[in-house]
Parts: sequence; structure tokens; C-alpha cells
Amino acid sequence: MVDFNDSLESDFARSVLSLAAETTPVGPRAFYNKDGDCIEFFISDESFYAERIDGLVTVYYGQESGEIVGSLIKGVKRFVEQMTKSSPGFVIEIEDGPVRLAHLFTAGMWKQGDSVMRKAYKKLRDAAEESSAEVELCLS
Amino acid sequence: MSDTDRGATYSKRLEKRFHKTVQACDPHDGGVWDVLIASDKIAWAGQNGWGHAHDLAFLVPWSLLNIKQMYRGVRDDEREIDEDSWLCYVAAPSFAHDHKRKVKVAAWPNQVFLVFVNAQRVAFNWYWCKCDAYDPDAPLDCDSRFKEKVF
Repeated sequence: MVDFNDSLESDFARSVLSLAAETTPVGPRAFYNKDGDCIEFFISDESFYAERIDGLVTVYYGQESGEIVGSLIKGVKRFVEQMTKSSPGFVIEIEDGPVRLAHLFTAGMWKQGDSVMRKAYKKLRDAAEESSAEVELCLS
Repeated sequence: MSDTDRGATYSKRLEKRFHKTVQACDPHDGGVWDVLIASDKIAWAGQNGWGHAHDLAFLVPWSLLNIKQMYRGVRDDEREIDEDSWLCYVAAPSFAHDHKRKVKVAAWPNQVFLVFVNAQRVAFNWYWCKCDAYDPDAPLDCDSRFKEKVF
């Protein structure tokens, strides 16, 4: 086991923990990560493991429940560009304001022939729709 | 060429505004170099409560230094050039955090912990995933998910 620079790691841990919310947020929430060009979407507060289902989405499953508890939407910029070129009828309003996650899941679901994956997409879309989850994208 | 590419010329030390610096295994020589974690990602982890904050505070730094395997080139379809330089650190920590109960627990069975680092040496995401059926130190589907194995 390697442990370099313990004091630096402790400082990092302290700074992170100082930001931890007293209570875990309830309900779906999303975050656009520009460093990974990905959107993290959480439905519950359960610990999770990730499983890649396709090039667009990695699903998060609860460690105990095995239920879908969130997801990672990857390559967001590329996906939005592809969708606006290939599907003129699918309009993602991104010029002003945030993008609704439900739209992204709907668009991704259209490409899916696999029923298991469509089911996962549908669950995520339904959760996003119910919570009106949306994120600001940095597409420039 | 990115710092994360094979044969790159780079500095081991790294700092950037609005980022915290943590140490990680250097893919070039197996030593140690700096990677960054963005302040907005740290804030997001904090907003998500005890579990996410503890994963970032303890699991991520530990895993960046105590790797079992490392891969370069993330995502297997329509990859852009930058993503060919992304790194995936794979670790097998002995501990995990139960987000619901807010306690430290034993590691989730048959799983490894992954940390993803982009071409700018920013660790942007991390999670547990199931391990390969024949190699408990490898993530599931590693052959199709990554371009090459670094370690």
C-alpha cells in the first residue's frame, strides 16, 4: 500500500468533508460535468455500482436493492450535435437556459432495440420527467 | 499530445485555479504525479451528502495511489482524440461507504473502484463497478471499454 504525503491527503479530505451536506438531498438531481462532458443524474441516496449499457449511458444500480438509482450520460456534446443533425424533428432547446434530461433519455431510447436497455432508459426518463431534472450545458 | 499520453513531456506537479490537487500513480513511470479535482465537482459531491463526500475524501485519493490496473483510452465507439488520452485508474479498496446508513463498511463484494482522469489530468468521475469474472482486479468488459492497458 502506498501512502504519499499524508498531510496533503488529510487536508484534502478535510476540505471535502467540510462541504458535505448535513442531510442527503431527497429526490432526483443532476450535474453537468464539463471535464468529462457527462451528466450525473441521481434518483436516490443509495450506494451504487455502475454498469455501462451503451456508449451514451452508464446506469447506476443500488448496491442492496439492485434498482436503478441513477445514471451517467456520456459524450453529451457529441450526442446533442448528432441528434440535432440526424433528427430535425427532435428539438433540444439549448440556446437559452438548461436542457431537460428527459429529452436526452428519450433521444437515447429511440436508438435502442434491446428491450432491457429500453426499460432502463424509460425508468430514467420517467424519473427525470417527474422531477423536471435539467442541467446547464457548456456546449461552446 | 496530452500529459496522459505515452511518451509525453510533462511536469509531475500540477495546480490550477478552482481545482484541488491530489496525488496519483504516474502512468509514465509508476511513480507519483499530481491530478486535479474541480471545485464544482467537489461541491456536487458535498451536496449529495455524507456518502458521496466520503467517497471523494477517502476512496478517490486512496484509489489513485493504490492501483491494481490502469487503462488508457476510454469509450469504445466514435471516440474523439481527447478521449484516447483519458485514463482509468482501477483499485480494490478494502472499504466502502454505505450512503444510506452513513457508515464505513467493507468493500462491496466482487467489485472494483474506478477513477477516470481526462487529458488535462482532471479526475472527473469515479464509481464502483463489477469485476471481471476471471480477473478480480479488472473491471467488467475492460477489453471493450478501453483502448490499452497501461499497468
